Amino acid sequence: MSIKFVICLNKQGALRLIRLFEPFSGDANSSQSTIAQIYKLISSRDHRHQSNFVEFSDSTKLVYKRYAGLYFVMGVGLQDEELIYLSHIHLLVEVLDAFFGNVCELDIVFNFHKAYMILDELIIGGEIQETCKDVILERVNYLDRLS
Amino acid sequence: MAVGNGHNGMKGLQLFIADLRGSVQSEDREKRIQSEMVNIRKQFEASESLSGYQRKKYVAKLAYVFIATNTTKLSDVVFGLDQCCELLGSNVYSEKFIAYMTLELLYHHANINDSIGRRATQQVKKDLASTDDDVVCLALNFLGVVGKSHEELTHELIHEVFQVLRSPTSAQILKKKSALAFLALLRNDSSILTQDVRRKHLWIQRIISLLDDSSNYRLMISVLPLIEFIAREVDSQACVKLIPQLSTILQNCIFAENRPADEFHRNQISSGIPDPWIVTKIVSILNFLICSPSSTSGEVTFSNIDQATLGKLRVCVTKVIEIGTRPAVDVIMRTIQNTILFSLINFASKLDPSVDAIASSVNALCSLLSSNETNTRYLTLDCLTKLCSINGKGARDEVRAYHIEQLFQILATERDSSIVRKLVDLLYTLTDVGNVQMIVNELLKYMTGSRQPDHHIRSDIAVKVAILTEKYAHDTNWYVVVTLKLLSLANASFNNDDIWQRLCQIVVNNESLHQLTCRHLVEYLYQPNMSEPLVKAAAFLLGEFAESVASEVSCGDLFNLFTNKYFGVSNLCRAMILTTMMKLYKRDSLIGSALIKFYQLELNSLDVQLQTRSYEYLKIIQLEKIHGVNLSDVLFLPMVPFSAKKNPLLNRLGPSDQSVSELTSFSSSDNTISTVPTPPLSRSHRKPPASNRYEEQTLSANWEEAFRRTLKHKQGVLYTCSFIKVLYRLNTVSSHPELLEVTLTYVNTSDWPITSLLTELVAKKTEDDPPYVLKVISVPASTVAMGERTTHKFEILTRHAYPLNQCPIVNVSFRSNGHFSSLGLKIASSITSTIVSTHTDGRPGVTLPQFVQRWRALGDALGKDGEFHGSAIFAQSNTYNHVKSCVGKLGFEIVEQSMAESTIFAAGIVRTKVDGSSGCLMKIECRDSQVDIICKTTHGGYLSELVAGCVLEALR
Repeated sequence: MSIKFVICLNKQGALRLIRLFEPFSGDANSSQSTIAQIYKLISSRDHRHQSNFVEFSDSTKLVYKRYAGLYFVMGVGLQDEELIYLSHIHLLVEVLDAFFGNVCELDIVFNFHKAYMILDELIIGGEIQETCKDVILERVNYLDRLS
Repeated sequence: MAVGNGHNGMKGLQLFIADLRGSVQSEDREKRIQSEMVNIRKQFEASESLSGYQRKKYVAKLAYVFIATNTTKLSDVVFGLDQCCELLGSNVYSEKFIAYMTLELLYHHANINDSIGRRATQQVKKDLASTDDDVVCLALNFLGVVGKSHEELTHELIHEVFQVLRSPTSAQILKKKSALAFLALLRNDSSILTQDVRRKHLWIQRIISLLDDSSNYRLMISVLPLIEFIAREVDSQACVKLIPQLSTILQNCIFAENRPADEFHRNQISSGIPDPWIVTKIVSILNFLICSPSSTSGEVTFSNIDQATLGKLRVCVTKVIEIGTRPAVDVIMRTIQNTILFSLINFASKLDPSVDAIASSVNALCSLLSSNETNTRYLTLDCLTKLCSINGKGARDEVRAYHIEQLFQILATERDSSIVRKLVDLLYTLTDVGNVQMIVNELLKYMTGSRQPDHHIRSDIAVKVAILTEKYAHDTNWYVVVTLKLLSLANASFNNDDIWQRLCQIVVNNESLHQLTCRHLVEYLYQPNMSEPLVKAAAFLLGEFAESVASEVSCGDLFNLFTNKYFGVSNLCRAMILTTMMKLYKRDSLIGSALIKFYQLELNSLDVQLQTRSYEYLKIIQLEKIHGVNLSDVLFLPMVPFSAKKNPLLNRLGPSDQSVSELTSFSSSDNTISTVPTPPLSRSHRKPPASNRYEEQTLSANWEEAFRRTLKHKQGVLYTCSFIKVLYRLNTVSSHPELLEVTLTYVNTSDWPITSLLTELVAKKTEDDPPYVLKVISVPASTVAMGERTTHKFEILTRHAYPLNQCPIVNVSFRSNGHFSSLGLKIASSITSTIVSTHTDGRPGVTLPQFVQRWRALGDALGKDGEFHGSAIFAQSNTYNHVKSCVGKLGFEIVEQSMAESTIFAAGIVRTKVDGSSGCLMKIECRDSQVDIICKTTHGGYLSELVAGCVLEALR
């Protein structure tokens, strides 16, 4: 029914962003192993011939997409319709791209707090909050100027 | 980098990040992190001298360490939580932001909450009350992220969040964020609503009214998920009345391209493509609220929805199929087009689609199957599977007839295993008696094909093939051959025992299969490589039924065959073979010496189970030989038939799969079970509608007066207040007197527009032989301008007679000048509203002699049982005339007579759908203020009582 988590990993599996809307199942203190499993799963998939969706656990499937060197991954419920989340991811990437101006991994590394700020204007409580790119950009630019 | 060190940047943080990136060796990196930790600790210990900026910088560094180490350093950064809370209290936005961001990262981890939960909660409370919207937003963001998993947050803060949500002065951004933060808190614990009926009612009404602003679709995006949750988890009935409104929004959204001035248009990603977010959310809610046509439990199906709404939804489906099959500009557009297409097609089956509509859905989907995008193929198959299972026969026949070859083609060429899995699901759904052989052959071909499918798929296909062959086989020989073939393929790819065990059960229970199966098994035994499940099946079945093939193969041969297999199989399988040998020995003691040697050899086995078994069997043989007791006849009795009717394999499909019908034993050879797979359990967690809903309704003050009016008069005023006036008109058609058509007209009598006008009909019972059935013909407009009116039509079909206190309730809620009002009104669709006039062409239908004769006949036939006596006292000056006019208004015919003074003779025929017509005679005696009624009906005393009840109520 809603997004369980949003994760951004680079091609080597290093975590760049993590936003949990509910704790990972299992031991809450071992999230690194969950992240490692996610990385292992999606990095092993053929990106030309395989879909952007894959079942991850008994309750979660992943919707993910690779943009240049970064994987953007969302965890959703098994009954959820996958495609709309792909649009979520694309919207997030478009906003990041417009905000940073041709975004690259380093932008997100050095300005991870701004990436979170953008995420907060896009998705809250596992649900999409705003879908219009211009509205989001206007808002984050305003927030970015607040001291 | 376009965005760097504005006044918001933190130089120390940037340097630290650059340092870490510069460390090539992981030891260097670790050292750098540790030294920074030491530094931060030191700084935090001297926290008094720390400026807000410094605190922010260090907390941000901790957050970075947490992320950059893939969350492994959680325990190393928690020391900073106190300072993080300190920072949370800052008045500087960027400082507060960093504090919230860091807490959001860490809050889901255990123990964090224990140490600072209290402090954080207090600060969030404070921030929610802030006059600075940006600060409130931060607090709402925080609750949106962590609210779902921390119970105390719900209890402490949900009221505050709701205040932000409902306040008319809240800015839009606050409303959006508060709607989702509220949802997160509600997901955690919805008892705040479910345990307080009044609050539930009020809050839900407020939330629903957020959808009203039809010029503002931005807010809707955040409110729809909240409404979906309420529909699914809190109170689905409260949301049913939203169906017309949601349908209108959906239609506006999908047809936005025709109205360029529309707000939706601005929202569109590209011209002609509707906003997929709104479409999927609304469809998801509607999909939940509307049940599939086969639903019998009295929930909303297409038949309860008014025609106008149904029409809108159907038009939406058609339009979306057109949009979805247009060529796409690029991949992103294709994704969006498909999102909308799949969403609507999955929903379409709820709308009682025509054969043509199903065919066009199927064709639209199948045209996408040849797409070169993996996602599209994957989801198309998923969508087709849903369509075929929910929609039942129509869609399945269409696919079977025209597209099955295409599916086989994909099976043969597809490289993505997730797609193959979807395809296997679809083929499974499509299988019936007619095509089972073809489909099973294709699946087996796939399993043995050159491309090595992965373990999961093999196992999945194996289970499905086993079920299909059992369920649809009309030729037992074929069933045995295919199942054995399946088992022979199973080289270690599925290590489950269910399939061979099921085969054994069926063979044991069906004598006709014994010889056939044993023959095939012997053939397999002669082959060099035999899969272990097959050896197990052979060990068991040949042990039991070796006699059936005695003419072809001797026990000695079998013994040798099993000996050959023995050393190539697992211990469990060996143990089974040991027992089989014992059974063979029981049939033919000639193998005795070889067998004894074999067992003696196995006494040295490393496996204790095999050792023990060999020892015991040796002892049995010894005892039989030396003492002549016949132990093996007692120990190895023939197998009794299995009683398990249900195929245990079905459990392996999991609850989400469509279940196939339970297996009956394989007794007849023309075993054709053609049950329709049940729809997926999308509504499985839906709570059954509360049975006492009718009793829970709150009725408006003075409802009784209006109720009595509807009993006596065909039209009039149902309700009036300073905002609204409700007029009613009741119509019956003489050919169907049991069908009452009700038209309500809502007139806005206030100086403000009325918005959120929503209506709902509540019946006493909707299932289990309900007394009446309600059907909405048209719903009122949700907005009524000053002085304007809108109409609402519905029908009440009386199935059988029922007391007046069970009459249907109309709930109306609306908003006017910021006030929410709700009305609860009862319409008297009594048994007397079904009276058929006995007049024919102006002549009186019943003459006095007829009346007297029938009165007597009824008395003779039914005696006291058919009668009802009732009386009441009224403070009326002219009782006789009052009663006479009342009875006339109810529709009875007054029989003119001079036999009895002050007594009215009345006659009528009432009709209900189930019980048909019933004659009804009354004598009503009026003495001063007392009225005595004797009522007789051809259907007996209960009906008499109900009719008299209506008359007495009308007299009051």
